[in-house]
Amino acid sequence: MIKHHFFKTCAALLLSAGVLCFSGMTYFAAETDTAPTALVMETEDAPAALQQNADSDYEIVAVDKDDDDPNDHGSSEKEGKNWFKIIAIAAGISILITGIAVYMTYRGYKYNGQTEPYEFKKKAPLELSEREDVLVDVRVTSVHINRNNDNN
Amino acid sequence: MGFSYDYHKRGEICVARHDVMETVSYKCINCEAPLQYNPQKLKFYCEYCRSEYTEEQLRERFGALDQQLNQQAASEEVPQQDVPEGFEDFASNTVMYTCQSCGAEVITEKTTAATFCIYCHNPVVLSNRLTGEFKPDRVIPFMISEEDAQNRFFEFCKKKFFLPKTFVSNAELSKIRGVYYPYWLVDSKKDGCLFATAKKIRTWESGDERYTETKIFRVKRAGKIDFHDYPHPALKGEHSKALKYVNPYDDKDFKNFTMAYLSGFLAEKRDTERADVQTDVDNELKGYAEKIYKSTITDYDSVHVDSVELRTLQEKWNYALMPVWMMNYQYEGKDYLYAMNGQTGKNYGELPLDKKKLVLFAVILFVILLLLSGAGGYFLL
Repeated sequence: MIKHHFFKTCAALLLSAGVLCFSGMTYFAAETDTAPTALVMETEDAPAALQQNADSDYEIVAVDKDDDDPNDHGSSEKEGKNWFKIIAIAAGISILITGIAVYMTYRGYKYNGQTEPYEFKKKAPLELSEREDVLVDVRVTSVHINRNNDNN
Repeated sequence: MGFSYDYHKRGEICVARHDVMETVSYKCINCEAPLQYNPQKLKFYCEYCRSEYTEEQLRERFGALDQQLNQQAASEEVPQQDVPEGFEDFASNTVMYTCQSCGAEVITEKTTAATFCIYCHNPVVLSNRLTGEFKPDRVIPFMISEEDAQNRFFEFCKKKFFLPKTFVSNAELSKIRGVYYPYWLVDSKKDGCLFATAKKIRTWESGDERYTETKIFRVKRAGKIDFHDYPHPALKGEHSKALKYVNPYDDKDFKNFTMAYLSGFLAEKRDTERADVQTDVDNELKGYAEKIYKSTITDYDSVHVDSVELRTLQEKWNYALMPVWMMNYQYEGKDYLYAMNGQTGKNYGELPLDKKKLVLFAVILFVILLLLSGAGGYFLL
């Protein structure tokens, strides 16, 4: 009865861990895909560009010509971390590792000392009379590798 | 020496009684006190006058008695008669003997071969249990004393963090008892072969393609395997698993059997015959044969065994008594068994878990991991 409950609990923990990890990673992946690409242009050109690209998928970011650091897109960065994603993945990993540790401890106490009872390597010598290795088949498969050639 | 059987009623319990002397106590040559085998000194020891004797000295003194006992046939089973209702099981599984020291009647199980008188604590060897076909060929004497066994068990428990605190106590340790258990030792010469399918896998990249080449081999290994002293417990019941996993024993300490080694310990005689365990032994040896043949198949990435064929060329069965320190204990209504190899100290047994400690450990581990992985995620994501 106790064993049954124990295994049910471990299974529930592992399932929760899996769900949390999956949801965190899915959210992370979805966020990465939908994040708009920043298009950087100088301030003087910004109004014209805004008019032309009103319906585009690009986010227009105005940068001052006299700005010392043209790569500083301070206003384009999303502020704050996504806490749900971090906690979901962290909780999933923690539950998984804790579940494994508890299960290994249980097994160690339940099956203590259950090692090989017969030293067959020492007490059962083999006199090999026949040794045959025959090649019967060769199979070759190939997989196309997707390499990312995007210059951005 | 003949036997007579009658039923002696004690209250409402009936046991079979052997009237003629079948118990043996090995007495000190100096003071006639009972002798016990001392595992630390590997000698027979008198705890009263502290005399010590080697096996040769005892054989010189008791050799004739041993020979006489060994020549006795094992006692025949007597059919039960007039056993009161409800006591058939008890009557069929117990026997009564008379202690030579104090005259008390000792009730034992049918498989008991050596015990202690519960009144005078005199070690008693039930000689007719180990004569004739039940006479063991060999014995490994105890190499670990009771005190040493208790210390080892205590040290072993100290390392187990999740054991309940109340578990290891002097009361529990005092229950540890040394028992000689019966084993079949099988010498078997087998001839056979193994067929398997093995694979070698190689991968490489060329341009935008990753290639995987899998070579499949049909493998055969054939030869003779000579199994020496394969042990199989010769006792049925709940202890058979413990008796299996306290192995292995070291062959170098095997001695020719003499009853004097049992003095001071408990002993059991076998209740299984060769025919009863032949199939189990054959299956187990076949399993080992598979491992042995498979160990010769190397340099492959994967090996799958298709079949193993084995036939017996020659087989010899010996019967031996091996030493085990045994302890039964109860915790929260459940029975646990702890067994220690009386020669090497290897231990086996299920241990109780303190659930509160385990849950606390799990909670603390979870919190620590959550903080660490959360911190890691904050800086990396």
